[in-house]
Amino acid sequence: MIKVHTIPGGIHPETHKSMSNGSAAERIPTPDRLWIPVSAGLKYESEPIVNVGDSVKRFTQLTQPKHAFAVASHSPISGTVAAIEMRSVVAMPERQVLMIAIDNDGNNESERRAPMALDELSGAQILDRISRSGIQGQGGAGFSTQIKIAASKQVTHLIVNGVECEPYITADDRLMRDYSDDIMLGIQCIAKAMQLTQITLGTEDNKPQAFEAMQNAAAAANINMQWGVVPTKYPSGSEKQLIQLLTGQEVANGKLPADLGILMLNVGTLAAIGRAVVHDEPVTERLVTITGEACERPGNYWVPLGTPIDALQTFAKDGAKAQWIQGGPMMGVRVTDTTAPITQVTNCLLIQPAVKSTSEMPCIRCSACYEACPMQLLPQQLLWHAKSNNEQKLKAHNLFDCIECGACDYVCPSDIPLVQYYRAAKDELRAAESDRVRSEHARNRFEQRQARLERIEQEKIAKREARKKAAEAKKAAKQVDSDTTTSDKPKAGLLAAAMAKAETSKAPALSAEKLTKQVSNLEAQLIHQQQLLEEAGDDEKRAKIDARIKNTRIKIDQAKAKLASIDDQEQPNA
Amino acid sequence: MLSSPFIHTKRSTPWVMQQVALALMPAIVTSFYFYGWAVLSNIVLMIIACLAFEAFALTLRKRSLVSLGDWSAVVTALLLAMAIPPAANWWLIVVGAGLAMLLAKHLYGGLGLNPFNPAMVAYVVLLISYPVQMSQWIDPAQSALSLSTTLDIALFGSPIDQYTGATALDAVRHNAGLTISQLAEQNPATAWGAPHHFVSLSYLLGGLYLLARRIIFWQLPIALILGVLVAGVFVYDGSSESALSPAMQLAVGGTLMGAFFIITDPVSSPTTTNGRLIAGAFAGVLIVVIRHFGNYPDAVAFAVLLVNLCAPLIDYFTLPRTYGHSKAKRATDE
Amino acid sequence: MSDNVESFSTQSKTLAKEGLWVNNPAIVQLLGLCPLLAVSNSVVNALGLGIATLLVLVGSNVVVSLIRHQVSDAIRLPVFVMVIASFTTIAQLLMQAFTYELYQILGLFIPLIVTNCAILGRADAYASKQPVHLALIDGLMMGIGFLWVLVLLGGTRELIGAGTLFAGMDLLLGNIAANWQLNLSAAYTPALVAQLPPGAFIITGLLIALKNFIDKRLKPKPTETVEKGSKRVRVTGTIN
Ligand code: SF4
Ligand code: SF4
Repeated sequence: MIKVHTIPGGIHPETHKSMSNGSAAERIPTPDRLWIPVSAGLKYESEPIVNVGDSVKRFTQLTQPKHAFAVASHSPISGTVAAIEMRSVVAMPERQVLMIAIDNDGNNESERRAPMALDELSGAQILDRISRSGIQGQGGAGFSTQIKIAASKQVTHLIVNGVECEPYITADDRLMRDYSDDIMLGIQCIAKAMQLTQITLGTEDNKPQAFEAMQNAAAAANINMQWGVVPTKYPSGSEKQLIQLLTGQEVANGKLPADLGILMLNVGTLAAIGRAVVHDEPVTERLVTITGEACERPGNYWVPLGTPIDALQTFAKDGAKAQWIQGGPMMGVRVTDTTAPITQVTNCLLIQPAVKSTSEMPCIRCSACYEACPMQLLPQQLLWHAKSNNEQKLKAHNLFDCIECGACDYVCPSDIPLVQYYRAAKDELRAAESDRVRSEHARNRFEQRQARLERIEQEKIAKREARKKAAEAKKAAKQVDSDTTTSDKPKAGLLAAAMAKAETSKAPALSAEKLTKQVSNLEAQLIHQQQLLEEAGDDEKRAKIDARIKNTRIKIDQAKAKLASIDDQEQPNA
Repeated sequence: MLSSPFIHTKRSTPWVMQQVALALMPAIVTSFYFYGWAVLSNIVLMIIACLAFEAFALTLRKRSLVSLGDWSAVVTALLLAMAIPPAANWWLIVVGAGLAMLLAKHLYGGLGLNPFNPAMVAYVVLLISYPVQMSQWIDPAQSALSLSTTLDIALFGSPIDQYTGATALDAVRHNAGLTISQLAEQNPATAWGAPHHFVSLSYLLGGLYLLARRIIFWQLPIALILGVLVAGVFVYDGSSESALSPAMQLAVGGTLMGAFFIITDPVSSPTTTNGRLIAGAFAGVLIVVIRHFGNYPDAVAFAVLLVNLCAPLIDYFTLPRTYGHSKAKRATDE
Repeated sequence: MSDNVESFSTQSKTLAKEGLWVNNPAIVQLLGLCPLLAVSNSVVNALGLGIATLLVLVGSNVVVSLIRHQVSDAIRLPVFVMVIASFTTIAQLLMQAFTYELYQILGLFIPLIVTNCAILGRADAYASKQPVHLALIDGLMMGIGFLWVLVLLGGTRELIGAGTLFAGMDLLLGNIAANWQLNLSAAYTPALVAQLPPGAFIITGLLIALKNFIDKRLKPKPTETVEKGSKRVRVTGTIN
């Protein structure tokens, strides 16, 4: 058991966990039709590789990533592709995304898998299997696990996040109790592939059974782990906060946990990794806590990805009046369209009696929000400046460090929807920033155009000058009437030849080996930068990182081009 | 509810205000014991007047009268009623209520936007305007006032025939050549065990309740008390020029009321942890300084108003260090 | 010729409007606040100081305008101050001669008229650029504008702070005014704060608010404009 540090702020809402964690997970009957979003990560695109009418089996790959951050999807059932069309998802109510409909044929056929014991797999093979399996972070954020791992080259310390601090949710709790073997497999995979030296489990002190199960499983699997039990407090399970709790360190502003040598994975993600690597099974279902005050049979259920929320209506006590929330009550998203499907980020479906919003009262500056903020922000000042749209002050008060945990909102006696204000303010600042970037671009373009015009003008002048000189020289030559035969033209030809020679003689100086190394280094850099971009808070940083990424891309292209030219040169020799 | 979080504490602003009102009960009861109905007449009249002015201001500003129910006016009324002499004339109360609600609160935009504590603004303006009426404390050593006498005095302006001798602070200010211990023999108000000390003690009690409920934070009252004690040491030597002993400074006047109920008013005080420490200590020192060198009966109200004035500046210089940042920012830093 | 006369009359009308209301030195420009707040605790004090200021303002405006072509830019401020100081001295001597008691009450604030920025401001901003007759009218109007605010303030403060009105007017106007004093009922307890500097600030603030209120009432109502999209709040869902 390691010493646990403290974090500032935090709140103690009623956990309501005993409602749903009483019994082991059950499986819901597979619905007739599933809807699988083509781009599982939503932000980064994949494309469908099946067509309407194709028949698929369980685990058949449905989509192919088009972007490094995108993940593939696989069919959870056997059946036929019934449609590919735009539909709503919970996470982005403001727009629709492309989805693949699969009609269940009830045959329950699976594609052949190639299970392998962990001992027989090399590190590279492990990483390859992870990247093929379409795993996203199962804790709620849904970042591509493959990328997270790829960006963590320097990592020595794996923190297993089993905190699950949001009220009501017990999926991780149940997972640790009933599937600790899968989690241990996942841990072993990561430990082997990344040559980790330190593994720590972080969990809250309100899950003693889960903790015990994990300890037993670790002992059985012969894994040497450290154990950190943190006091029950929201939001201890947030990545930055858990790192602070377990190590006493803070992830510096603009940096990643990887910069501290830490990789944090959720227990659900690790279980998925375990299954993906050893059993060769991509993610096609997840454990969902279905609970709430208006829920009929609260508990944990294995739900195939793509199950429309409509198919779970039987869980609602009072169908029409209940309010559905995807995720926990603190950071979840209201379900506005019940045709939306379950995805990998759906750790919980909360069914609550619909309540009216309470009306907002004036802020009395009671500081309760400040006392609750785990990031040590001044929420009441942020509110003040957000209301007056004071961009500078918002930045000075570190608005972009707000993790939108909602702790301040929870404690506010005046019922001010603080987080809503912050989201709006962030949107606004981002919009303003991109406007600025755009106008910057426009200015740059203008300046470049100006410079180009000038250059052309200069060249014209230079040419004219040259022509004049040439004419004069000709005249002079004529006058002198010399008998030299060398004219200007051949001279220029010689010069060009000499220059070309110099160029080519430079290229081979870089050996092919060096270039290959350079390319791979640059590619690693690119991935790291891309993750930074993903996590970057404000747009200023984003723009900077964007620029860096572009640079890196250019460098990669150049290096590759050179490499290609060398290859071309060498081939004839070989 | 439209977006997360979907759960909230049961605490509401009216509840917080009610708790403050509740915490004032011990002081009200003790005062009632000593002054009788004179205290209750103050309180009842003041609450009626404050609510009336609040309603008036809200109507004038075309706001919903619903916010009458936020209890903030009641808390202000209670504090002001306890600060002015018992059995105050009705017009004094009406003027005070008007000043608190209109001048100090709604002119600045109402609840949450007033830079100064409304009760203290009203108290100070009353004190400056009506020095005589504001220093007529009935003698607590004699029997408490009956209901009929109280009404006579408060509503019809009959004179009071049992004024106290000088309060402890007055006695020290007008001290002619006595040492502090001689003074204590001559004027029991400056000796331990005076009735006022029990009132002070009951403010402490109420304050501890608020602390326990985490409605106020410890930094402000503790820093204020320490400020008074430390500054008190410098002006105390027991001679005829000396101030009261530092411990006595706490027990007399409005020190403890100020420490737990006035300076802790969230709207007008700094909000950061360090800011609260600074503000509390500053107020404590100011109380002693103004008491010792100033001319008014008590200094708590002045000290609090001065600190209120500094609150934005204090907040500005005590911005906390955000997670992951290497050093604390100033609010103007980019 | 007729052109000239007409333009002169419109000009003076504008000047009157500016000085008395729109651009009132006391409650719009907030100039000369120091004497304004310090001695406006009774009508008689206010009137005394107001008249003295008015005299100085008119005199200095006229003289500054007269010499405006002779004074170079570089030394204009010292010259203006000297002109103003001369008139202040005249006013001071006159008051010493005729209203000695009042002079004693107003004390330092009479010589301090020199530093009243309303006067230097008018001299520099207006009189030094305009012909004499306009400068004279401007001085008069600004002076009266200052005067009426001062008297109103003085009256209010006297009423609230002392419960009287026009007390001691004989100091300024001689014996005819000896009985002018009005008293509020004996039951009224004067609120001392109105006599003290904080009261002056509070009441001045209220006067400014009153002026703005009247302006707002007088202004023709602009057609209703709906303020929309002032705040973009991202909500997950619809409001029902
Ligand atoms: S908790 Fe609410 S009322 Fe209190 S300071 Fe924060 S925003 Fe204001
Ligand atoms: S939502 Fe933001 S401001 Fe509020 S407590 Fe969480 S991190 Fe702090």
